[in-house]
Amino acid sequence: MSGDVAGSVVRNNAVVDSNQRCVVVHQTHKVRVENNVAYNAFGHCYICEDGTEEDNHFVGNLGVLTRNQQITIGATDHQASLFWITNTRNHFVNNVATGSQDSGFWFETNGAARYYGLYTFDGNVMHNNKGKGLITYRPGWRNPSLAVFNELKTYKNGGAGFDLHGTCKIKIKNGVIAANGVNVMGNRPGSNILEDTQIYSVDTLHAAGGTCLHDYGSSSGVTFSLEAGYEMVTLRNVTFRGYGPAPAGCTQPGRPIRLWQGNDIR
Amino acid sequence: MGYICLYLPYMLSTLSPQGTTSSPLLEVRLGGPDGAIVGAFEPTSTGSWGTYVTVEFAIDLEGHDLSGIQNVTLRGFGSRGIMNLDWWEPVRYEANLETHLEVGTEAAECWKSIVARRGEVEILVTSAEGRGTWLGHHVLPSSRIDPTTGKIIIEGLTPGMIFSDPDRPPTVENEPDFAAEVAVLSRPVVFESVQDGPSAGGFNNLHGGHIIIYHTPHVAQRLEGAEIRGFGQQGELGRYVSHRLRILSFLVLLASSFYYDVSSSLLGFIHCLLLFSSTARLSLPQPHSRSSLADPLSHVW
Repeated sequence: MSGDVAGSVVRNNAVVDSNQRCVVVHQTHKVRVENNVAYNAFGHCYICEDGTEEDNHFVGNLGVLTRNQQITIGATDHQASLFWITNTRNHFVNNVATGSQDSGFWFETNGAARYYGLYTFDGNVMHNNKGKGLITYRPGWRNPSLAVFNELKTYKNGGAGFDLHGTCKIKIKNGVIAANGVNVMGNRPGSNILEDTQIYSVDTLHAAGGTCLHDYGSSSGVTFSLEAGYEMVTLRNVTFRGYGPAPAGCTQPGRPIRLWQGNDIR
Repeated sequence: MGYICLYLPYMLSTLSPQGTTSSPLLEVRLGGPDGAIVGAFEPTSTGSWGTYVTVEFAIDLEGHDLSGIQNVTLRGFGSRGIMNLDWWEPVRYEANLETHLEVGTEAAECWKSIVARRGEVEILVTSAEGRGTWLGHHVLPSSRIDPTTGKIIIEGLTPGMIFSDPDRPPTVENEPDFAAEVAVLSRPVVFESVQDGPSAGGFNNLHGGHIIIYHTPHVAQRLEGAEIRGFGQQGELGRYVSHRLRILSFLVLLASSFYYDVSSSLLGFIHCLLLFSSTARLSLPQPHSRSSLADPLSHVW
């Protein structure tokens, strides 16, 4: 609750076995949170507290293992995420989120922040989370202009790699999305773009024709709804790999492109 | 005493969809059902109720008083059946195996200042195998770093403890896009909180300490190189005090009159503690079977 603190940094720290959250930025602007490690927490981990925080930089932070909060404090920590983004007017660069009991990155925007644009989301990684790698829902982020998720890697998450439910004008560029329950899922999206992006049903060696390293189940590619009034997903220079016959011992992957509750595109 | 591997054949035929809170979970607790969690396992379907699969996972007994005879409780969570359990067997591995994790000389050189100050350090290796394996991370509590060879010497590590296929760990080399992360959790300055015990309600209240950093107006403040363990308080008890200061595990709270700054002369050398997406590779007790060191690091912090 500090207002503008330009020049202040929180850097190279380790937050271990936290009982409640990890690094909280609350009504504070322009702080730099950099190269920290957080391991084994309860609740959301790296967070902007109430959606008023702007121009903060989260750079090169590693978040590993957070559990759903046992005693709620009025927020959504019972569905813990490693990076809880309540205001998109901040900068997220080269962070890694792995091991959340729910989601890796959660854009939970409310009030006026629900309609803000995204400042920077570049080089972030989310993998091996129990739920989704990145989600923009609930209540549903309504960004006003094209938001670029550059060099995003989301892989081996139990749920969707990137769930953009209800969110429009998302551009995933230079991304790698692989071996998630569903790699990209969009229900009622619009004007979303995947560009210069690789989508794997499995891991790299597996997709390259190697033997079955691990069974990733029926991981499917891009799933979206086809509804009147919405401009649907645009795929531009997107590579799909690993959607052919599965090696022995592995489950046959799902479809590379699939309509939500509709017929598959083969 | 450090790690023990638990072999546990189980079978399970039906599961809730991945990613829901009703997915089953098995916790290994020391003592009774409310004892300390020393390990956890998330079963997945074995295909049918007639198919047993034997799994191996680590339980970490470091820091626990193990004198005398100890009970171990397997506690299951889930809205439906957890699993059928055939048998289980704890196996203790001897330490001092010639086991090491190769992270390259650059990272090892970078981390040696921590080793010089702390001796042995804690190494965190994240999970990067399987899908949704959110509990598969490993903390290696007593590791030494050899900067000349780029090796992290790990006491008591056993084959299969970190990666299911030790010959093909999820490194940048083996899986260029999907490597595991390796990080050092130790820092030069340690803040460690005592914890309260289990409450009558059957679970630990999780009331640790808290750190408050006050704001000094017009001063760029820094907190660097601190290791903060066991802080934070669940529930409303530790959330706010009367003057609306946030009390959390660690807080960027820059709002009042007390200026807290960790001196740069003390901590300035720890700028490269973290290694992301490393080319880390695991060498098991036959270290000479590997002919090459890791590739150049992709990122070093």
